[in-house]
Amino acid sequence: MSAGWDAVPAGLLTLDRDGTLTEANATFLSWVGRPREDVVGRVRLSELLSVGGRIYWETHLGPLLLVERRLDEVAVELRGVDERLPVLLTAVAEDDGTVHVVLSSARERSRYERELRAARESAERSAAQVEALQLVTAALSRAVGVSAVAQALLDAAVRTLGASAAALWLPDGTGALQPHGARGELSAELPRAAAVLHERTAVELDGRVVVPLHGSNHLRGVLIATPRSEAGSDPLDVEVLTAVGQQAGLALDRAGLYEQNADVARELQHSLLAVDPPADPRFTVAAAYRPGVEALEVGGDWYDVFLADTGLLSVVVGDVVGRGLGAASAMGQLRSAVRAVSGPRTGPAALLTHLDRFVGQVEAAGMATLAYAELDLDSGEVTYACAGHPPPLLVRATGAAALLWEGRSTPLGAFASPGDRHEATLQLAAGDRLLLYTDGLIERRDRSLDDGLELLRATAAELAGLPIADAVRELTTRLLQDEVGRDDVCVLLVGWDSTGFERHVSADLTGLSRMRHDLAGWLEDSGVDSRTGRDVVLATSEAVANAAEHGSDRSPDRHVRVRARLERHRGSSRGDAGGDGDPGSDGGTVVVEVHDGGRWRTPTASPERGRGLQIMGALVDDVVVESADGTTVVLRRSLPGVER
Amino acid sequence: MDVLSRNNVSVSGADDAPSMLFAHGFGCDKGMWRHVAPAFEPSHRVVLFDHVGAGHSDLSAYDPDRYSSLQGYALDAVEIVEALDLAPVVFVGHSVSAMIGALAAADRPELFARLVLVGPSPRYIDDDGYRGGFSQQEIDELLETMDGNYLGWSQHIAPVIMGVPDRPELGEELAGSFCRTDPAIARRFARTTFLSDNRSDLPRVTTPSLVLQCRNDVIAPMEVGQYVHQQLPDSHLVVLDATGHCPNLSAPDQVVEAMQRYLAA
Amino acid sequence: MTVETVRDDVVRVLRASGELDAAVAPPLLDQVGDWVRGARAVVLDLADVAFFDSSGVRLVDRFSRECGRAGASLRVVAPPGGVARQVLEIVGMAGPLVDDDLDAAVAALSA
Repeated sequence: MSAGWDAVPAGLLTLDRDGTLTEANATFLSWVGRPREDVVGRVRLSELLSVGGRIYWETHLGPLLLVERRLDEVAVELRGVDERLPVLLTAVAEDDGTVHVVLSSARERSRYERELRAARESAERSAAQVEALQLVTAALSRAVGVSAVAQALLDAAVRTLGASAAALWLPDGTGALQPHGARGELSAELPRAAAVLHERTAVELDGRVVVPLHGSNHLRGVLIATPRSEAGSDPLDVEVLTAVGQQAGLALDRAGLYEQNADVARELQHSLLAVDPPADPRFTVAAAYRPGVEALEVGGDWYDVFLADTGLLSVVVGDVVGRGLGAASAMGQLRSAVRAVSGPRTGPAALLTHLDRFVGQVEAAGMATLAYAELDLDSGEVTYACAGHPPPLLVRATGAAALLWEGRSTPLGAFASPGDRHEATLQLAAGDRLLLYTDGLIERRDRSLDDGLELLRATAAELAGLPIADAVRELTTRLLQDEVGRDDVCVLLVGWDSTGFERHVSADLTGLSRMRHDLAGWLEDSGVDSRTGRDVVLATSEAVANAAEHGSDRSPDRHVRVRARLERHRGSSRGDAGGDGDPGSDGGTVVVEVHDGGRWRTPTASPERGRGLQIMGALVDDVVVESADGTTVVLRRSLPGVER
Repeated sequence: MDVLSRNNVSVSGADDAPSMLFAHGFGCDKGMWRHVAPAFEPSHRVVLFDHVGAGHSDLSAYDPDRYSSLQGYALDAVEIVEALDLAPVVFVGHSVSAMIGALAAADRPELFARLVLVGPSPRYIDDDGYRGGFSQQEIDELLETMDGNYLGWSQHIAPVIMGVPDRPELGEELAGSFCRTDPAIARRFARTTFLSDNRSDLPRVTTPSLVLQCRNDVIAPMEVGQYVHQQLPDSHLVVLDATGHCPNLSAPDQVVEAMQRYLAA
Repeated sequence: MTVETVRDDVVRVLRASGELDAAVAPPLLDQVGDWVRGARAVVLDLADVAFFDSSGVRLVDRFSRECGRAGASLRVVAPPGGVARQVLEIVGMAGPLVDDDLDAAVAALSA
C-alpha cells in the first residue's frame, strides 16, 4: 500500500466476506493498539468493537451490509488499548463480498452527541414523570373521602405508575397502620423498620418500593409498590413515587378533614331534622327527607311542624342556599326563628317580614326560601305564604289536587319590605291535605318546571286515598324514580281530620247509648285515663239529654251534635305562650261541644234539670253555654299528665 | 386488530402443502429470510412476518406491557398460526425468535409439527454454572450503542436506496427499508431479548426440533447451542461452517440444506 | 235497662241492670208504682247498673215517693266506686238512702 494510505488520518480497512481484516492502515492499527500481524488475516472487525458494538454488528450492521451493500456513518466504538474510541464507520461491499471500510474518529462529536442525548433523555423522562404525576394528582383530587383517595391511589399505582401490584396501609383510630386495600398479587408486609416509614422519600426495599404518605403533620399511610417482573419492563420511578406519596399524604389530610366535617354536619342536620310533631286527633302529618344523589355534604332543606298556639298548627318547609356546615347551621337558626316568631296574632305574612330582618343578621340564611302555613285545627282554615318557594299543593279528600299560587313573595331577605309580604287563606274540609316540599322533588335538568309540577299534582291526586304516611312514601318514591343528579328533597304532608270526634244523636235519644260508647272508645284511644273518661262521658250524656229535651223537644227529626277534641299543651319556652297550664308542664284538656239547634233557656226550676247541671258541673272543670245558631254547651275537663 | 396486517404477514409457495412459518430475530425484519424462504416455496406454504415494531408491522399495535416478555411475541405467533390455519406448522426461528417459537410450542404443541432453531439462546447473560456469553454491563453497553445510533439511525432507515446499481431488483423489494425499526421499540425489544431467561422452558418443548449452530457465533456461542440441544427433549444439532450470527444471510445454502435434510427424515 | 224482682218475702229486692239514661228512663218511671205495690220494704239494687245519670236520680226519686205513698221503706244499693253511687253522691242523695251492698240494705230495713 502507498504511504498515503497509512498517512490518512482515518482508519482504512478491507474485509473479506467473513468480515476478517485483509488490510488495515497504520492509523487504524494505532487506534486499536495492535501490530499488523496480530490483526490482519486473523481478526474479524466485529471483534475489535466494544461488546455492544459487536452485538449490534452481528444483528444489524452485518445483515445490512450483506443486503444493502452499504453502511453509512454508523457510530460504533473501537476497543483501544486503555479506552474505547468512538468512530463513525462507512463501508461498501463489492460483489465478491469484499468490504471497504473507512473509520473516522468521532470523539468530539461523540461527546457532543452524548450530551445532547443525555439532555433529551432527561427532558423526556421529566416530561413522562410530570405527566404521570399530573394524572395521579388529578385522580387524587377528584376523590372525596378517605376510601376514595385510597382507591384512586392504588389504581394509579398499577395503571399509571407501572407497578404490577400495590398495597396500602392506613392508620386506624389508635394510629396503628392497618391494611386498607391492594391491587394485584401482593404478599408484602409492612416493613418492620419504622425508620423507613419516617423517610420523606420513597425507598427501595427488598425489590419493592416503600412510599410513606406524609400529611402536613402526621404519617397518613404507607404504599408499597411492586415493580413488574418481565424482562423488558421498566423499573419503578422512585422520584415519581416520592412525589405521588407527598400528594397522597396531603390528599388523605384533606379527606380526613372532610369526613370529620361531613360527620358533624350530618349529625347536626339529623338533629335538626328530627322533628317531633305534636299529636292531636285533628290532624295527621308525615314527612320525608331524601338527601341528594350526588351530594356528599349536608344540604339546606328542612321542615318543621309545631303548635303556634293551642289549636293552631304551623307547618313549614324551607330551603337554605348552599351545603355543608354553614348551611346546616343557618337552617337550624332559621327554624328556631320561625318557631319563635310564629304565634296566634302573627300570621304568615308578618312572620316572613320578621324573617327578612332575621336573615339580615344571619348571612348564610340569605336568599333562603320557605313555604309556611297555619292550620286552625278546629275550623280547618289555612293561612299560608310562600317566600320564593315552590307552591304548596292542596289535595282534597275527593282526590282533586291544585297548586296554591297565591300568597307569593320573594325569597327571604331579597330586598323585601313588609308591604311585599303576602298571605292567602283557604278552607279545608275534613280529610283535605296540604303538601309542602322542596324543589328537588320537581326540578330536573332535562324537564321543564311546569311538567314537574304537573307530575306532582297528578301523582298526589292519585294517592289521595292512601293514609298520609303511605301517601308521602309513595309520592316520594314515584317522583324520585329517576335518581339522577338531583338535589335534596324534603316533603311534608298534613291532613286535617276535623274535630277528632263527632257524632249526631237524634233528639229522641235512640243513639245516646251508642254515642257514649263511641265517645268512651275515642277517649281511651286518645290516651285519657278511664276515670276521667267515665266522668266526661257522663257529663256529655247529660248535656246531650238536656239538649235533646230542652232544645229539640226530643224530636226524632232533630239532632244533637256532639264534638270532642283533646287539646294538648306542651311546656313552652315562648314568652307569648297564650295557652293554659304552667309554662314548663305538659298537660291536656278534653273539650266537648254539644250543640243543638234550639235555644236552651236557662233552667227552670225543675229539679231534674238542676241535677243535670249539678252533675255536669261536678264532673268537668268548666261548663259554658253559648248561644249562636242554636245552643252549644262546652265542657272542659283538664287531664292529669296526659300521655304524649 | 387484524393479525395479518399487524404483523405484515406475507404468504407464498404451494397451496396444498405443509406450512412453514419464518420468524426473524432481534435486528432487522423478515427480509432476513430472503435467501432461505424461496427454497421452500415449491414444497411448502411459506409464511413470513415482521414482529410488531419491526419492518412494516403496525407500530401502533406495540404494547409495552405485552412485549415486555417473550410470551407476548409467542402469543402473536400462535395468533398467526391460527388465523391462517397453518397447523401443524414448521416454525423456523432465528436468534431470539427461536425461543419465541419454543415458548409457543411448549404452550400449544398441537399447532407445531417441527421447530427449526437458528442460533438459539435461552439466556444471554452469564449465570452460575451457565455461560450465556455476556455480562449485565455488556448488555447495558449494547443499549447505549443502540441509543447512540439512534441519532444517526435515521439515515439508515431513510426510504431511499443509495447506489446499488448492480442489484436493481432490490429497488422495488426493499424500498430502502431493510432493518428499519422504531428506535424506542427496538430498545425495549433489546431489553426483553437480552434480559429474558427461558432456560426452564426448554424441557417443556415436546416438538421435534433442529438446532442450527454457527461455528463462530458471538451472540449465541457454541456452548449455548449445545445447552439448548441437551435441554430439549427431542432435538438434532447441526453445526454450520459459518461465521457470525446470521447464517440465514451469510450462509443461506447451508441453512437450506440442513433444513431439507432434517425435514425429509 | 231491666228491673227484676229477685226476692219477695219480708223484703222485696228489685235489681236493676243495664244502662239507665234519659233515653230509657221515661217508661220506667211509670212502672215504679207497680214494682212497689204491696211491699213493706223495698231494696233497689243498682249494683249492676252500667250507666246512671240525672234520669237515674229521677227514678230513685220516684221510687222514694211511691214507697212513701205505699208506706214501704226504701233502701238503695249503690256500691262505692260505682256509677250510681258517684252520681247519687253528687246530688246529695247518698247519705239517707244508699247502702254499700245488699246485706247492709236488708239489715238496715230489718232494724
